[in-house]
Amino acid sequence: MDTITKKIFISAGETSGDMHGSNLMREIHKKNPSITFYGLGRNKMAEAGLQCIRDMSSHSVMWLQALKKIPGLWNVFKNCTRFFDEERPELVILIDYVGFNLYLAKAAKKRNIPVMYYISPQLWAHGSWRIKKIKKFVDRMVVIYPFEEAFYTNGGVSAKYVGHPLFDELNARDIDEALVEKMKDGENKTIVSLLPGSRKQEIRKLLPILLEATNAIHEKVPSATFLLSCSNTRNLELIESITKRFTSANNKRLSIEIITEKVSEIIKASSLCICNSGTVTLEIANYQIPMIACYRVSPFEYFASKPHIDTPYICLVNAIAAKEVVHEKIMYRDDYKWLVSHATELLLNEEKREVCIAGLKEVTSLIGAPGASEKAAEEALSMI
Amino acid sequence: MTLIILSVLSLPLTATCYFYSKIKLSVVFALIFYVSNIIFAHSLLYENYTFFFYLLMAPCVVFPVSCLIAFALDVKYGIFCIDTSFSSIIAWIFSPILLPINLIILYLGHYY
Repeated sequence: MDTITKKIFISAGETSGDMHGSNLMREIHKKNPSITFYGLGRNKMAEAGLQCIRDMSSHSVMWLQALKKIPGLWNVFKNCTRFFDEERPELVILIDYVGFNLYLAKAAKKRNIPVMYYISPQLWAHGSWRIKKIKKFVDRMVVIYPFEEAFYTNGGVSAKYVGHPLFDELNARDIDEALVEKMKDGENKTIVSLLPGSRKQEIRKLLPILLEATNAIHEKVPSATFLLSCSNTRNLELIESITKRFTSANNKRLSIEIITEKVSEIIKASSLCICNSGTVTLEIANYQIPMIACYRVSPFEYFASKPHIDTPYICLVNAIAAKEVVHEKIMYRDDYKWLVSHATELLLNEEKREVCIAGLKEVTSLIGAPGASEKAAEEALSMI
Repeated sequence: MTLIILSVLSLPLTATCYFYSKIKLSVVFALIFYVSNIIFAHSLLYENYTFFFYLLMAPCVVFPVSCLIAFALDVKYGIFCIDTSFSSIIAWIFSPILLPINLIILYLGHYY
């Protein structure tokens, strides 16, 4: 065993990165307990032993909000570069959060410190020219989708596919089966769950369309009942206000139950999930529940970003399968009729459900194996 | 008259080519749009309202074109850490304003 203390700098900006970072740190520690971690993270990474240069809880922002955070982020960046100069870590591990982490990659590379990037920015989906920057600043990409390895290797970047850490998390997660049974009410209900995403911006755009669709779905499938997932209590107020506004404006009696922080249970109890096109689609695929994925943008956003989109599929499940396993759509108008027609089809047509479930099984067989964090830890240690 | 036609038509042509990812053609029409609208604004404003002319050029031409040049360099050489694809959004917000302003000034100048 290596007795000299080695330092690894690790940086994660967002909640999901914090979770995956903490798992990675534990796996590295199992293999080499002499390693000390310094860097940027949140509570989970701190619990795993990170000596925090700065807590990143207040720094995860999008779009225009990010402008307000620039002075704060600049200070964080200066602290990190000072740490690189004074402590000279053996390795820099960057987790997602490309807007900030790429600056750290550049700073580390300038000081000849090896850089490993874990959980790649989705360059294959949007702005693939950015691979040139990755090539300049990153020594090894440790990627979580099977097609990413070829994408980076073809671009001249050393890459290793390790699997998706979400499946480690799902394997370790305790599902409240009693709650699932209670939701199902002994198989008497046809549950349709609505998963509008975890970011406020996404919820504001998508939830009204999902709610609009519920009425029409209920008219066609009267046994359908609806569960609305609130993945984080921070969003509960927003979700309640949108739902209240919708039900009072439409004078509807349809009951939609809002359930907080029980995403896995909701999915498991459902006959159909209607969701945002993000990582949650992989969790739904894991439980092999038919789903419909959509992403709401304004017409202007659709127009301005369309030429930069490099993938035929926005839903991760379809991107992994390289075919349309689940129905997906980028919505630039409130096209709830599209949702209703596909939802009805998947609820009433057993053959279509079977095809969808078979496709989801195929996808999970490609990506669903646990052990991503362990393999990523091996990659990290091989770079020291 | 040719200038007005070029100024007006080049905008939807740029947008159509951009939307369907015909980027080189889109750049050609964008250049026609910028040149014709700069000449248009110059002929309307420069002589009597020089300050207003420059005030119009800064946000509608200089700023978006600078962003687009930075974006083009980034795509070619990967020089910035920041994701410069927001440049096209900036260009689509600021540049088209130039055309209606020119037409309004032309209208006001013609009737008043």
